[in-house]
Amino acid sequence: MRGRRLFFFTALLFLAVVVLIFAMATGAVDIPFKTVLAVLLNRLFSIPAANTDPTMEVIIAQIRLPRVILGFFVGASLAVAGVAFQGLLQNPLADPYTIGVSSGAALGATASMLLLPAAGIGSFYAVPLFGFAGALIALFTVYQLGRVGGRLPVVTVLLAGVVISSFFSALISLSMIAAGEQMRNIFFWLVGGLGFKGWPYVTLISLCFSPGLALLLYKSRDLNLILLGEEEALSLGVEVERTKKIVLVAASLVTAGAVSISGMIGFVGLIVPHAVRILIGPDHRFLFPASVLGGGIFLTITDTFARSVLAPVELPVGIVTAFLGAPFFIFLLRRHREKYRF
Amino acid sequence: MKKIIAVLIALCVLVLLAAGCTAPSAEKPPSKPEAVQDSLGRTVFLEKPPERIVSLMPSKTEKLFALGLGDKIVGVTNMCDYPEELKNREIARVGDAWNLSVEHIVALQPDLVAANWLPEGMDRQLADLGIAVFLYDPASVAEVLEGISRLGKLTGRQEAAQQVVAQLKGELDAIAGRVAKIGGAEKVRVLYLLDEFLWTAGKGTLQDDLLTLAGGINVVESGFWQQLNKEAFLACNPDVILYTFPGGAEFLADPQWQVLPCVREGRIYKLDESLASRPGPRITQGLEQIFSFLYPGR
Repeated sequence: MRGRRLFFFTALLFLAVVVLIFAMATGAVDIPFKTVLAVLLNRLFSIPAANTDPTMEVIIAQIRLPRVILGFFVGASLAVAGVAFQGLLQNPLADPYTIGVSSGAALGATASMLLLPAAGIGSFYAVPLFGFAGALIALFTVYQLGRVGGRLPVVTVLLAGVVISSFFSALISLSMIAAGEQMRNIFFWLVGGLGFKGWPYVTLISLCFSPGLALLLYKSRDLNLILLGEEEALSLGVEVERTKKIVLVAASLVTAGAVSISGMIGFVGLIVPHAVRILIGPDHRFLFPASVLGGGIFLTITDTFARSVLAPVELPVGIVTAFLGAPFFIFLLRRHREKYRF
Repeated sequence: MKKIIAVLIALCVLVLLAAGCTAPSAEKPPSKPEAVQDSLGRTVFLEKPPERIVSLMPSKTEKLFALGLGDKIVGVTNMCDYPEELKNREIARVGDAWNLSVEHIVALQPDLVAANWLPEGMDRQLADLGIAVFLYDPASVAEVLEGISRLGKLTGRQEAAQQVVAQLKGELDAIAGRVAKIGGAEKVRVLYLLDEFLWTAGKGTLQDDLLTLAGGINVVESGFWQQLNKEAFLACNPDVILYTFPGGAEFLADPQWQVLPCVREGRIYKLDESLASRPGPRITQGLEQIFSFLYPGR
């Protein structure tokens, strides 16, 4: 298993680098690969670039690079959150979407876009904050609704998630009708996607992603023990309830960051965790980092596809994630059916 | 949700489809640019008159041509269709309403990007790259004129802007004179229909202002864009229905609407969108068209 993991991580890292460079070389404006590479090397390692066109440099470093990195972060966020929710709820259908946390974040973000400009407050940093609050509210409600006698049965959690999701979606639609002048902004954001997002958004998402991931990694061993059985975990000194809460809150924070920046992008949080689990097994110490790479790679590929296949018109990336993701997932599932373990 | 999207797209197309310019004013050496406020209350200032302008709205494109800046435009949208000159010139198209390509825009190295509205992220992105962005979103005819004069100041074309504004004011006065002869009792109650989902233009929109200036009374009294339900549509019983969408005639021919006198009597008219809903320098022609539909022969 160890050798397999080592191979797997090396392969993922290599793939990530290749995919990122490929994404950087693709865009609405045709830029020679040589130029892209020269500018990247210049920015990353201060290797002097021979007389490149300053405009091309701006396009590469200020427009394409932040977008590609943002896509990687969003994919990584959704995948990591998916691993956490699936693992903790021991539910293969749990992801930020199905358990309502995405809708919660979306509603929070919508509220901030609707209310803050009216009060004359800039909403840039407030969007993820409100998104986080919304995600927590959704999570708490689902948790309370889905709990039966101190346990969280799969069926009730999913039902509660679906109910909360639809209810929050209805609230979002309602607030759009009331939005008046802000409707355009909210609409644009809801449609989702990674266009028009520069470096400030990269900062924003890393503020949610880094602490969230750190907490999840820190608790990953305890999470493994809990999954073996809560009794055993307790006897080994794991604070079970506390760990659960920390994991849920951290996963919500990570989700909120992704949703409040890119809108609703489905499927990533569901299939990437499964794919990674199929390939390297159920140990969360490795699942989390692997899903960071896997989710990042997956969304980078799909976003590159979304913005280039019909260029200059962009497809919503959510369509592409579902389109490419579903067949890939079925393929994995069929090949590895017998090995699949939770 | 679908309807909201539909109406948003419809609105966008409306706004995008409009505008026109009066004859380009004689080429004069530009004077010094002045600082102006944009719709968001930000001050925009150019050190020197712009040489490379990207226009992200058909109405802005028409205004720029009217100010004699047509040859400084390096990029427009797919919706920019006027003046005719655009068709003969090699000019970059940087996308349409919902799909603007920042990469394309930046590749054109603009020193000014003019639009009515931009998604917040894109606005920020252009600003971070040091590209001057002028956003002005007129919601009335007066604001259209104000927009022209601000654009003139911003680009150092004050004189051309004054000429255009003066000419438009003259045309507005002429129509106002004709409207003044319409007695209060003769005033026509109008509905401005945007699409087959019964979205209409309410108070606070450019369309409402046009109806009022043309001597009509807008039957939709609530604000901004309003979707009527079928009952309310029948109950408001306008004297005239103006519409802008293709297929409007077929839509209104539906038997369920025949109870409306204006539909039965054929007092339903299709407006030229590019005149009557594009906040550009051809807005007075749109107003003229509306007046002629409300009060034929007056």
